[in-house]
Amino acid sequence: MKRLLKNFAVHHALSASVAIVAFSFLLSNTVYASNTEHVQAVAAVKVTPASPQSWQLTGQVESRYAIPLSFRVGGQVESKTVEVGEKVTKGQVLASLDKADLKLTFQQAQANLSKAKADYDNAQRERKRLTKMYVNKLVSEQDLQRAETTEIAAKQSVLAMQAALELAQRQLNYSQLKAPDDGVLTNVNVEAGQVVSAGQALFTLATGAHEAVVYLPANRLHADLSSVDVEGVDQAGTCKAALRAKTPVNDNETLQYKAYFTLKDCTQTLPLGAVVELNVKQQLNDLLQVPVSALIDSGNQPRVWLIKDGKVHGVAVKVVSMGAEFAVIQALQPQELPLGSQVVADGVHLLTEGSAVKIVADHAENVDSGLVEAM
Amino acid sequence: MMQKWNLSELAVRHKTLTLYFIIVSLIIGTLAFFKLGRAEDPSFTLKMAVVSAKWPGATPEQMQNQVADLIERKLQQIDYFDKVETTARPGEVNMLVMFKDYTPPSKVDDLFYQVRKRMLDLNGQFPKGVQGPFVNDDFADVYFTLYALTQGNLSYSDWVKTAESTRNALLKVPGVEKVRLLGEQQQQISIAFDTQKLAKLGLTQSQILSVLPQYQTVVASGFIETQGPRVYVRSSAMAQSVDQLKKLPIAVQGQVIHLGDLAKITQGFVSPSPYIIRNEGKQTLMLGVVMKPGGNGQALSDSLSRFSQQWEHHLPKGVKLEKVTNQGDAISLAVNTFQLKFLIAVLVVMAVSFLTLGMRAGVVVALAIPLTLALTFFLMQLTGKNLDRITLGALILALGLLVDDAIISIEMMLVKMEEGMARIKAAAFAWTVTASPMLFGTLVTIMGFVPIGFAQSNVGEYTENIFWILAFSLLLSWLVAVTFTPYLGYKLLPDPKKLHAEHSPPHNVFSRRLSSMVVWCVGNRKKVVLITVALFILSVVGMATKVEKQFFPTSDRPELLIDINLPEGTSQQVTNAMALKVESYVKQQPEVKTLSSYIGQGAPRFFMALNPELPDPAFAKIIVVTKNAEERKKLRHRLEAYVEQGHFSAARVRVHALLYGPPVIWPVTFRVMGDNVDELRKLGEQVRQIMAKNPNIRTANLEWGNKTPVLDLQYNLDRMAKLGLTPVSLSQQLQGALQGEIQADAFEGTRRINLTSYSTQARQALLSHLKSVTVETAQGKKLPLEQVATVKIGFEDPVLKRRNRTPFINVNAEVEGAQPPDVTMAIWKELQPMIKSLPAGYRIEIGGSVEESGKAQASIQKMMPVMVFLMVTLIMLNMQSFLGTFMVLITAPLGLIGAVAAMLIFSQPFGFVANLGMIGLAGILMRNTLILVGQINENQKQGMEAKDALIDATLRRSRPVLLTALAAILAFIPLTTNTFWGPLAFVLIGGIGVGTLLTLLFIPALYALWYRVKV
Repeated sequence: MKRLLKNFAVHHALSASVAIVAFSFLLSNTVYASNTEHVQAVAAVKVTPASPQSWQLTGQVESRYAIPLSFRVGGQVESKTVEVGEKVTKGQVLASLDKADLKLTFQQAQANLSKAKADYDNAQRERKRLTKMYVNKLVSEQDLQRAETTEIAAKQSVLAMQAALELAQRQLNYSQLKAPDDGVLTNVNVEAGQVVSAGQALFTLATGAHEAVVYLPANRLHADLSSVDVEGVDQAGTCKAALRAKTPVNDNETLQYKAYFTLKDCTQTLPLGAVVELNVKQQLNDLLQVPVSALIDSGNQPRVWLIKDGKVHGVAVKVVSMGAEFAVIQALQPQELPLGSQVVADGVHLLTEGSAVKIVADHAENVDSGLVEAM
Repeated sequence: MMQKWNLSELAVRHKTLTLYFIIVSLIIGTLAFFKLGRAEDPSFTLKMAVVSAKWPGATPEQMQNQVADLIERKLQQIDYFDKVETTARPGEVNMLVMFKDYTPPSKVDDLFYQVRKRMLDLNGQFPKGVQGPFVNDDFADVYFTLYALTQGNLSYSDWVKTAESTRNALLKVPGVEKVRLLGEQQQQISIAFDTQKLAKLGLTQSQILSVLPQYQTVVASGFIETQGPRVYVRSSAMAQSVDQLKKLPIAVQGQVIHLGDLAKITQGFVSPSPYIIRNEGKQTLMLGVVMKPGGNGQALSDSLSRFSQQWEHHLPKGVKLEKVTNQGDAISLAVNTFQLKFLIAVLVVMAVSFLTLGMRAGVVVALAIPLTLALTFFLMQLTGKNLDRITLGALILALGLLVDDAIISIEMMLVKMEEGMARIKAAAFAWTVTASPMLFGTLVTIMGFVPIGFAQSNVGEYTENIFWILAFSLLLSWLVAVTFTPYLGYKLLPDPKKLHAEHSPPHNVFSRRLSSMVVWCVGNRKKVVLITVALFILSVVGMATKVEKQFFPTSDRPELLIDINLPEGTSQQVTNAMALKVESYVKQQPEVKTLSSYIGQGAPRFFMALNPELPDPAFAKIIVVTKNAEERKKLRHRLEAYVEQGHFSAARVRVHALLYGPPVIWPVTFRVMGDNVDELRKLGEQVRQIMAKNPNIRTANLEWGNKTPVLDLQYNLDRMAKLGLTPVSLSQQLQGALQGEIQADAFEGTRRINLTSYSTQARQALLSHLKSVTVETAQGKKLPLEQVATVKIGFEDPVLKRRNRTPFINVNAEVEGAQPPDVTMAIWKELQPMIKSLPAGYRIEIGGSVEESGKAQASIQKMMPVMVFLMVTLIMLNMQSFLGTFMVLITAPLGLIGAVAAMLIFSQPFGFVANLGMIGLAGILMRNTLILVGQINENQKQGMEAKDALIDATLRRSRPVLLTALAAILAFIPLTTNTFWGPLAFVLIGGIGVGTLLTLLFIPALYALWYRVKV
């Protein structure tokens, strides 16, 4: 019995140690396996057609015509009745010359005409008398012919003097410079008392519709300029513009082409000389738009992640242009990226082909930037 | 030799002297304890520096090929150079230079000097426009405390001035080595021209801007030597403020216009900023305090608290100095916890002695503990060691082992006294019999930790004090056991009842049971040996397969780190916005104590093993300090769940805690290396897919590889020439339009403010309107950009990384539900078929914690032969017999059985520290065997029969052996709850427990088997 007990005790001890080790094997956990696939939460956005892109030109507002006005005769300016910037109407007197000389010339012409008329009357009577006397063989043929030519000459003289009188009259009218059309005087270069010559430009009249004059870069020469908006840079006001003309030859210093756009439907009249910015809209057909953060290039080809059936699929795209927020793209195979399909908006570097995703609503938060302002 | 100088006899005979030395030891020990420095972790030298260079306008490839290449080649020539990791970005390159792990710490300063010297040599060899190279060897500085200075109502310049004066005051606090100002934004005055107005005036920007330097440069005006002083002529035309700048005159067409009329002048900051620091959601200036090496952390923490209280009075109203991180808190936490555990361990061991040896003997043994500890503290102070996580843990380990010698010594005295010997003679006898084997046994135990003490590596440096503390305390315990303890025994032991005859082992219930067990074992020796061998093989299998492997565990520190990674090449404002989003969510959580965020760069190094990330505009880091590790865990789970729901879908948000041990960024990393970046991307993706299949892997990702869009300008060179433009002037104008151009400086106090000119046009800076940016020809004619260039969108690598001049991509992942080393090895197996089929010149290496632990293990392995040699020599010296040595060596691996059992039962991972314990366990167990076998031989020498000698020896030695084992086990129990030491504690508890039992049962059986002892 004792022996049995002894054995039992010893066995007990040894088996206990075996049991400890074996038991510990059972207790040890198998490597914790979680076989659920990781689903990434993403923000998604719909693919929209590219918003019309616009490119800019800067120009100035000018009038359609800018006519220099001058007197047709020289003389001393007696009065100037307008100032620069004034609006004038057609036929309005702008300035007048001293008429004294012109009046005298007119009187002279009048007197000449009277004299010529008197001479003509005399020559006519003379011819009549001599014709009668020639029938009675009282005067020579020579005298009659002389009287006839004198009459003719006197008649022409009257005509000449009449013309001279008209001319003098007209020149008398030239002493007044009248506006040929409605418009604005952009330049007044004359003062009363100044002696001017005929044809010397004294006023510049801006008339006609307002236009925006811009320089077109060489690569835009043949661009579509059909839908243009104009916005004043230092003056308020927006208008629509239509292309009127382009110069066929480029400017020597900048190699650009001048283009003229007629302004219409202005919210506020843009003053002449105002600097304006022209926004030319480009319709981009079949180009798509996505947020910039939706693009990913893992080495050889820019792509966007298209979300289909809870998985993402990379669609190769070509980036046409980029803005600060959106990029204009074109899918290399357009049927892969139809309008309205959903793509991953950001966090694109966390995904790979075939990753499972779930779309979450984007929480827009207005947070203080936490940045310090310099004082 | 031992016989000549019988220390015990001397100690007992010269009582007064001995008492004197006891008192002196206690006094100097107590003093030393209070004087010892306290730190969180042992300091180990980080052998790395950062070299950087800038080249505005260069692509990453140009940075890599033209700049980094030259620098790398120079660096490779330096001694102890290990590797350089180059990160090239547009316009800048940063290189992390790492020296070999086994670089002696004393050489590191010299190596940094070598780096600087060679960088200077390179001056002049770089292309024009390159700035640098700059060497940052302060990269390894640990910030003991980080302060945030709030702005209150101050202007930015005043705020900076206040920060500077605070910094100067902090430098005066004792124990502070450096103080750095972080997060300062570079100010600039921007001069924004309206190009339309300029056009009307017929002026070009360059004409106007050439005026600025004429006013802003410091130029000598001369001086006059008089009969008295030297009188300098001073002119103060320099504009110092925005208002003065506005009044700068410019001559135009005979008229004078002021700069303020032509341009809008404002004072602001350089944007985008390369580095923004926020505290509690507001941008802040940070002051980082670096402690003097070898300083007392707790003392510094107290001084700093006092300082900040006093300094509050010096600060303007509304400005506060707030603490963001403080290592002092961590030290207090670590040290206080340990001191508590320490105390418990001491009490436990003392209790064990009382209970098992009786009151008086128990007191004697118990007294040995404070004596040994006192002398140990004194030695620690002499050798300049701190009380930190490692030394405190080592002290607790030592506690369990140092009573051993005292117990043996006293036990021997007791036994002899019980046999009738006089006290002094008993003491002398104890010496003659036990001193030598005790010493050898102690030395053998110490040898078990030699690899730790002398391993040449970062981790070795970190853990080396385990060896030193154990060595000190165990040797001192031997000394105490042979001098003080006999004295105390002489004084305190009671007169024994003569219980039994000479030379016979004690008799009691316990000894009877044990003797029957030993007899049985000797009788069934074959069975016993076989079972033991079987158990051993089983535990080897268990270790290889079932036990979880780990490198270092997660730290207990309360900080939680949130890494935010946007796609490479993302703009800084997006990163900032995302960081704000995360911050605003985290701010609302109750567990948050402080919240600071760092955008554009990693956080300052407030924890030794946290390498700050290099500058990267797409990176932000948030540091959350919670109240304790529990709160941190709760917060981490909540944050991770929130991220999973997709609230921060644009970024990779990674929430993680600090780890012990050397810096490791991701737990699992594989490095794909090769020459062609595209091929690397492909291979990296393959590796990533294989990794993702493993069920324990989370978020497998490539560190870099995606391209970002760039605008390629294709110049029409002929047209440009006709117009008088060159690519350089065009690029300069574009840079001026988009980023501004620095024209001159203004000075404000100690700061230099750049005057930067910008040309404004409606919506000019926008990407889509880049084509209409106005450029000026040389004649001053203005054109839109599209007249001379077409803009195309291309894609470019925003970053290129390479290691020792070979491009590489890291494939990183988190783990869940298993330990990194196990998962890494599993994936490595899966990768083998791919590795075999790699193209020539490409390879895959293991990185992450496995690589680091491999380095650490290698350094330990190197020392193993030394250790083995020393151990065997010592044993031989003692035993002077091959067979005896063999017996002793055989016990060494038996510790594995108990260790594996303990780890499996309590689900502990086997980490680096536990591995150290395993090695040490060998020494501990061998010591017992040494003593046992020594006793057996002694018995046989005295003429006993083999069998009787065996059993008698075992019984005799059983009490001290079991007592020591019990003391050790109980002393280690408080350690088991600690994250760092827990696995080690379990290893030792299991190993010592089972190992001791086996020593008492297995060795007799083996001995009997070997010597064919007749039953």
